[in-house]
Amino acid sequence: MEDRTRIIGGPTGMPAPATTVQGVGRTQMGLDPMRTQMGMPMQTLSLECLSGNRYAMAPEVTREHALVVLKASGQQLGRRAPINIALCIDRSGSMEGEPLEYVKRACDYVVDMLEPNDILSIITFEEQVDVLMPARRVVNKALVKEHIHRLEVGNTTNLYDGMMAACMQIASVQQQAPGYVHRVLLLTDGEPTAGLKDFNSIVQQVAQQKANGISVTALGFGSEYNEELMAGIARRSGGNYYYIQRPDLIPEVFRRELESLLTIVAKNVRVRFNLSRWVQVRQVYGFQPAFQHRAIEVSVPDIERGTVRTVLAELELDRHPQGIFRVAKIDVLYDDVVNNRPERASTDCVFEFTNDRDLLAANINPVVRNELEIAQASQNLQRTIMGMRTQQLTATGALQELQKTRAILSQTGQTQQAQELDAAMQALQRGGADVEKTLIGTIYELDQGKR
Amino acid sequence: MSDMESTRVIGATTGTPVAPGDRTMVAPAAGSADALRTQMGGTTTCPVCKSTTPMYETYCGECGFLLSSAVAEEIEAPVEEAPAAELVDSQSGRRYRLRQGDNTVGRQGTDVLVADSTVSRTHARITIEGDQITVEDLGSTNGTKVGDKRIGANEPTPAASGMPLKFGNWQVVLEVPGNVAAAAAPAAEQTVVLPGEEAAAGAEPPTEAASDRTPPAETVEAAPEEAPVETAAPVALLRKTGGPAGDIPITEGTITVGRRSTNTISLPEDPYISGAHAEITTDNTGTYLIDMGSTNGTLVNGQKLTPNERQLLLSGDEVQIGQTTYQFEHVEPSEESDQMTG
Repeated sequence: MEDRTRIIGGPTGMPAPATTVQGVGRTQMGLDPMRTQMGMPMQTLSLECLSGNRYAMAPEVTREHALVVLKASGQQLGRRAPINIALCIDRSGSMEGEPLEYVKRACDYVVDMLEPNDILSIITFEEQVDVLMPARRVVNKALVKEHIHRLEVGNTTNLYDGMMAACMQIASVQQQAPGYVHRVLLLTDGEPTAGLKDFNSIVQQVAQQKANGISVTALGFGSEYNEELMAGIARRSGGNYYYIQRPDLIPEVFRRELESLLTIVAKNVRVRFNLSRWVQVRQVYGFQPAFQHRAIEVSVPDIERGTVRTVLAELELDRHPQGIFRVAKIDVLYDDVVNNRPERASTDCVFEFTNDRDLLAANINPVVRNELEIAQASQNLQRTIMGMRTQQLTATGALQELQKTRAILSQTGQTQQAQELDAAMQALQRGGADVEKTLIGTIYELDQGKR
Repeated sequence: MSDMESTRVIGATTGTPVAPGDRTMVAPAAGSADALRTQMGGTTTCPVCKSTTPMYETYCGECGFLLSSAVAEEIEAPVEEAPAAELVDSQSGRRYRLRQGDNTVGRQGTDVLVADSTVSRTHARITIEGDQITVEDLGSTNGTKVGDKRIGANEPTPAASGMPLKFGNWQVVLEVPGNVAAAAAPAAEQTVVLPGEEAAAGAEPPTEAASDRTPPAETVEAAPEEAPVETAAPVALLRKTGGPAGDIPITEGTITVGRRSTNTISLPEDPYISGAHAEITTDNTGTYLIDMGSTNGTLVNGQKLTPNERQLLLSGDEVQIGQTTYQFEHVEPSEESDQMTG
């Protein structure tokens, strides 16, 4: 009974001295069944699983929720992980003037922020792809900037080849850079007009890169780019997605992205639900789960220091006998980039099955309910966008829907996303074209489960 | 045995023979006191589902029951109903149970949850009323086919057992169990089809083994699917994606892989594979690949393994042994094919 909540790092386990953990090799960790079960403190991530209700109905098929909460410690534990970053810049004709000037400034900023260990490559694309600077440590910052400032615009947008060239630059030094955070920053202001243009092919390639440990952050600028494609790239690769409305915001967005990159403490994060008998998963909100043997797994974006990441699953529970059951064992596998080693943690999702309906009503977990409302808000937004696209929803109808969703978001504490909806509603009233771009950004943030 | 009686087995179930070969029961590494106990037979029988679990586990590895909870009376395991019908994905061997009434099919929050990008979030509905089955497309992007016929949106179309159904690019066969007696058996007999010639190398044919063990009469209250899993049945597979050698079916425990015939899985077709090339160990924490110091090495997702170091394999991992490339995947024992019907 006392075992029901297992907060890793909580008072259950004796804190192990850090040296012991470090001395344990990777092979041994996989073998030791006690390590992950007794709530030993996790160095980098702490793991908790909250059941949507303490109780579930025993005599009927029910749907309940399980919330996995991953918390990264806010303390700086050792040095930051070095980064291997590729700036992949669209210099098609439409970038002429102000946008390109701001891009140059943003690149300068990135160069300034790099430490001697970090690796940088710069790739530009228009019809052709140029590797302005192959992947290497930045020794002479002034020289790199000089190259950046010679950038000029070309004509069409060969996004795919540009992105792949950037991934190749990252990959070329990947072997020599263990423990690095590998990331492409892809900035574009338009639809792909040259090279491979098909959404599925591009996104599939991105997923392949993700499997090789390379994420792409998609920075969409202006009103002409394909937000579906850019968000798709970010989603499949575990990077971030930004919509940049005005050119003068480009440096600021680069700053935010770099800040997030420099504080990553866990990458290649996978959450696996090992399901007990009589349990199925109906969905994992915002993620596309992979099915395994009586288990499902989702791949979660990299986690930054001091942040919380949530994964919410809807479970279907068949009839159970009365009693306490673990409906799923949760495993989290990740690469600890601070200590440069693979880690894993486990916890249990437990329900008590009862015949007493009143017990259920009184024991709803408010944290899980809050997350569920956020997840539903994201689905509302997707429906609103679809409605607008198919014209089944008028501007007034869309406004009403957005207003409702906005209310949910502010009630659930998603202030920033509520503000984004305000901006989207204003744009909608003006008849602006960037409503969808804003909304897709909001959906992306909500689905990432970053709280 | 005295261990068992003194502790957690409750009520009339004490005498029930322990189901051997439960997948979750694996001798863990020596070293901890608990592990030693397990090797000497320190297991607990779950009062609910009758599976055995190592003593140190808090919850039953099969049904998740909290083994330490005090139970006054005997617990009745819920009787699992035979599905009204099933969708069978012949590619993955997965079976999706369908209930009487409405069953939604799609990628998000549906009764039949599919991970295929060509399937819409809420793609279609399969309605079962008695022995009448209809399929209705719910306005999906990539459409639905019943048999060879593409059906229009929101037009319930009758379907029958044995018919192929196609949702987007996801193809399945609709199967209706013929009668109640047949309903229990097929679950045990249905096994993922292994590419022919390799089956002999590692596993004895799981089909026969499973049906042999099915008791003639179910005396315990456990569900009919309770037939023990044959331990030699593959739990995972390295499916060949290119190169000269064949597939590698992976069974619980440790298997060896190499060119010589003394290996559990012998791969003489690829000259770049060493005589004793690699070892694959599967326990309840996962499947691990160990390069045994081969001449040409072993690669996982393009990274060369350090010899004699365990590498955890995850679904979808790309493995290269010699000149042959593989994709790692878990094999779903048929017995638990009901897992993802939700």
